[in-house]
Amino acid sequence: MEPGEASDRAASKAASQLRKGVLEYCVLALMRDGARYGVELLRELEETGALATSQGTVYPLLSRLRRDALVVTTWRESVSGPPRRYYELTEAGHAALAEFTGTWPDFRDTVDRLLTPTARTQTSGEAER
Amino acid sequence: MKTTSARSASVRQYLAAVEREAAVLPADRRHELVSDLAEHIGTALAERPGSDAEILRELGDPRVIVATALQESGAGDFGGATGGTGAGKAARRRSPAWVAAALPAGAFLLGQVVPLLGVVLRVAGVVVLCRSPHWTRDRKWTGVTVTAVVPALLAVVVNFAATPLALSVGARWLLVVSSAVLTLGGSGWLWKVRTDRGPAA
Repeated sequence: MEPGEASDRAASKAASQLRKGVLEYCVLALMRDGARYGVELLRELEETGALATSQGTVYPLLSRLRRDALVVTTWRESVSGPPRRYYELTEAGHAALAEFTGTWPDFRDTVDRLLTPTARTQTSGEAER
Repeated sequence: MKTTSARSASVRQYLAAVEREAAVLPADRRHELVSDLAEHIGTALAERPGSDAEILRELGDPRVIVATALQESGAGDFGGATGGTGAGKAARRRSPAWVAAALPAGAFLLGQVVPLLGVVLRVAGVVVLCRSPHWTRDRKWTGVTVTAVVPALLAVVVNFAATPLALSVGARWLLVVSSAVLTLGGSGWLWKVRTDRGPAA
């Protein structure tokens, strides 16, 4: 096995694990400004590159968010096709998203500091502020 | 599901494949998943008529989708703010895969010493296996047949039907050995074909 090949695979696995970990919050974030229907949500996820696997894998996640009462769904008529199921954040959904939005920058900065040796020495004074 | 417009053969096949793979899920989750995907396909087709193949390709492999659904129903392990779901707790109450795989083997070995204990463990093995989320319905049937039904029939032959005249010592041993091979082999096979429920399993 080529060492380069192995590290490529490890890197892509890491990327996919990371995407999986934050997918839930990316989905919640897409609903922040209003209700979205499934096809629309998945299209945007795909376009932003936040999706590690195929679109269909998001439905089990949406189903869990619904069971956990972070989102609610309502059926609405559509002019151009069958009725659509719209997903909307609940109070608890907004709260979970707000909490994650608060913790994410700290988390990201911590990892950045660890990953970039030069930035670490430059920002160490700043971090003590 | 509200859309019942004529579905193309490829869409029907896809949904049937999801339904088949989703046999490992509880019935309500299976129905929900199939109806979510059917709704997605209906809506996407209304927006992009004729692109069945593309829409199904984007949705992805039914096996991967069902594997994700299994992880979600056993989740809480990597769900962030939401913590353990009700389904997650229900799934954790089920015995781990090794219990279902080991019970038949244990039942056979202990049954040689204390026959009654063997019977109790065999029944327990069947119950745990049938309730376990780690095997599909077909594999559970095979497992129950190989590790419990056939060995039980053999045991009946050895203990009751066979008077010394009807069954030679050699034949008795042959029955006991085949029962051992079936039970231990069945245990091993169950362990080998179990479905893991995600990284925590």
